[in-house]
Amino acid sequence: MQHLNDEELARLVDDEPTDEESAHLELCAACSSELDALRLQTETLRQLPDLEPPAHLAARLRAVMALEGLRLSSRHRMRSSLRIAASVALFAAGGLTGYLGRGAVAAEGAAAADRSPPTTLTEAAQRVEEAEARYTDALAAYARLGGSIPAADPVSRLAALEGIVLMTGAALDEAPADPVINGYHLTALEQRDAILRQLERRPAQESDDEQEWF
Amino acid sequence: MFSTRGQPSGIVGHQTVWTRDRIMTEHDLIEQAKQGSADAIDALYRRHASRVYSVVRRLTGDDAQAEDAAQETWLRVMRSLPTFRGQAMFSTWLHRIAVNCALYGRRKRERNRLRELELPDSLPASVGGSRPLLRMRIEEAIDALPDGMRRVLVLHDVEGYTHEEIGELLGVAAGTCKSQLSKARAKLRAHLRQTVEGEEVCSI
Repeated sequence: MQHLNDEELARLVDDEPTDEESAHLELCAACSSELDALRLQTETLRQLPDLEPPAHLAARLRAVMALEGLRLSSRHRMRSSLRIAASVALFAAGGLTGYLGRGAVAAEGAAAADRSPPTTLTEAAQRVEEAEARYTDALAAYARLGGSIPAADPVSRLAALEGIVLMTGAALDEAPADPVINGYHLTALEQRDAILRQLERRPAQESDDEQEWF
Repeated sequence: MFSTRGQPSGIVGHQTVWTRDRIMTEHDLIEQAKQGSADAIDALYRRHASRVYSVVRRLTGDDAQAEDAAQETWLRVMRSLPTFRGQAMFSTWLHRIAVNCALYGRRKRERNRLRELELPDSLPASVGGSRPLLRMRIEEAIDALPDGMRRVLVLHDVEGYTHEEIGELLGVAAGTCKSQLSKARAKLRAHLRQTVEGEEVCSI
């Protein structure tokens, strides 16, 4: 009998060999050794350890869940000071927000950030509540901005995404651990880079308009 | 941030969550996650994130697609959680959703060139133990398999699905699945033989 081929040997990892195959395996060290190797390979596959997801996936997921309302505001978990910092930072970047059409909200936020420090505990608590409300509004504004970015025109998308990247980057300077802003920043970066790659791949004749635009 | 292994990460307050995570039953966590509790969602993620990521990463054979599939899995789970009645184990339900997202996720990128790339010729200078290296080479070889073979091999040999279950998932006959598995095992073996030739792990 000829040697067993790879697929026949692979089948014998699970199945009983025929009499003919059995007889051959008893006499042929090469085939027998190869079958042992396939069995070890299969055993190793069954024992493969789990893989760790990349850390940024968790931040991205948190951001999307928060936007969809699947995950309640992290008010119970996040330190108020961090939330205030995030809120202030978000609205300090109001110029860019204004560029993207949210000027009124941004101006209101910037004004709130300039107020004098609270003098009583009650006032401080009220400020925290207000900051949380602005924070939530800002996240909703990001969501609207993301949804309003023109889908068909990559150059306009690029400009809009660049604005969001700058805005969230500024917010992260003040609140680097904020998972929601991290999620927005990473998502905006990812989309911006994807559009850059898309533009780079465009044939020269299609990019005349964009070259003039730049 | 989520911490995937449920271990203290040094973040203030994390220990409390970690302790609660161990004391609370999965049923409690699910009930709280249905209400949108961030702590409960984090705890469920920590418990199951690596299992979900493993199955979608190996089924897709691609980092970017795996991330998309993992995200889609968790979003589908959280959206559907209010309808989860607990007839099945949560982990089983989650695993099935992960498999479906990996196989039929919305975002199907054009299969990139990496799929067709040859495996690297050279091996690290120090082999150490053969098992970790073998596992690494196996992961690379799984990625290099054609889509159909990879799916069957991962579902059967890694995840323990039967040919009938795989056939149902992929819409093929169990016999076709079995035949694809033999081809996939043989191809994987050929890749490994080629890649690790002359090294310690060649003995497999």
